[in-house]
Amino acid sequence: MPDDDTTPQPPDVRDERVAALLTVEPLDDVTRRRLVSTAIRSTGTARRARRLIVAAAVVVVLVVGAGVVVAVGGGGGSTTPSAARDKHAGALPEAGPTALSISADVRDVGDFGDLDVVANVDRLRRAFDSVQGLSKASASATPADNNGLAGDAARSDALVTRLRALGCSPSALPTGTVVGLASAMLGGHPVIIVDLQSSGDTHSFHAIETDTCTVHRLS
Amino acid sequence: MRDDDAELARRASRGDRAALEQLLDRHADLIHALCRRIIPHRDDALDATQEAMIAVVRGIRRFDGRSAFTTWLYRVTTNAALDELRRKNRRPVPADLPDRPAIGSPLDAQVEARVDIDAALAAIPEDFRVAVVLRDLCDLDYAEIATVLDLPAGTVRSRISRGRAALAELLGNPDPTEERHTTDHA
Repeated sequence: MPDDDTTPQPPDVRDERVAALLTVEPLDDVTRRRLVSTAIRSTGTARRARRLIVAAAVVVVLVVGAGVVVAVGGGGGSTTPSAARDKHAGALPEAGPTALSISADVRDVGDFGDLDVVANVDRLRRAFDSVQGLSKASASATPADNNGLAGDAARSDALVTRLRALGCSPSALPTGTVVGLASAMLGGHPVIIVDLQSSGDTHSFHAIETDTCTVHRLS
Repeated sequence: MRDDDAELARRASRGDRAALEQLLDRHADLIHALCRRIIPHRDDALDATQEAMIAVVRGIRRFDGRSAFTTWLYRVTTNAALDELRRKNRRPVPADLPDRPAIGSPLDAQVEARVDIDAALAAIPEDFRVAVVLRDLCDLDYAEIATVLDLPAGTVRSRISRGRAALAELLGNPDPTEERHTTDHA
């Protein structure tokens, strides 16, 4: 039987008699708190699981990669084209003493789509593997061989520009020097993934939501 | 209240966990009441309440503020309740309702009425039940219900009319809508 028929149509007012019958007693405080906290925790659990997947993949690759990056950064002053170095080096706008700065050797390893998809995490891992290979090659390359690195630097321009253009408050950003970059989606938000080098040559990985500047530490 | 909701929802959608928690706490009774009246079984209604809250938490980032937060909340909650209902629809619904109080029982008439309404709601079609609950419990107007259920307003009106009539019959009362129609058209 269709819904719209000749049934008498009630006026658009609440039926107080039915309303009284439908009344439900309020939840007790304990139940209410349990329901709310469980709901809040559920998303935390989902996010943690998602971050762990990303972090596990990134960490495995970058524990090895960090050593290579440090080697290139420390002894590779003559292996990076100076024009690219000049373009990238320096702190983000509004940067204070604790702000994010960008290494002259920063590399954009590409876009990896939705990191909730395991295959994309694998792609990210392979990309960092690839960067390791390039870094190793550059460490032993002649100046002529290093012309190719100018192309890498050029590719990273766009992402560096995006990162600078975010306009995030310095206090919202982690501290360190960006030595690697990637773009992706995380939890439905576009993110820039940064490989941060801090004092003591330690590395950490963060996803910065480009629409909200929310930072997720990945490792 | 709605302005506060909008601000809290805006903050929650940007990752403010405290704002999200405050929103859930503020609307917990409403979410539960809606679930409780869509789902006749008390425990299943609590499960649906939990699922609805989780859906809110997971979906709040997609809330764009174009509609009132409560409209979005009703939609999310109604969908969660219906999902829960369908998951558990093998359960014989009225069977595990509290027994009717015996004649002369010390339980008061209000409790008996609650038992009646549980059984009566369980007995009417789900579509009618949802429409009546949104109108008479949640006090949404037809247009809002149409938005929540993504239905034409005429369909909403029809379902409410039939739902109320069915409830009145099951509860042993004259159809309240009939009386009002007579008055309205006078």
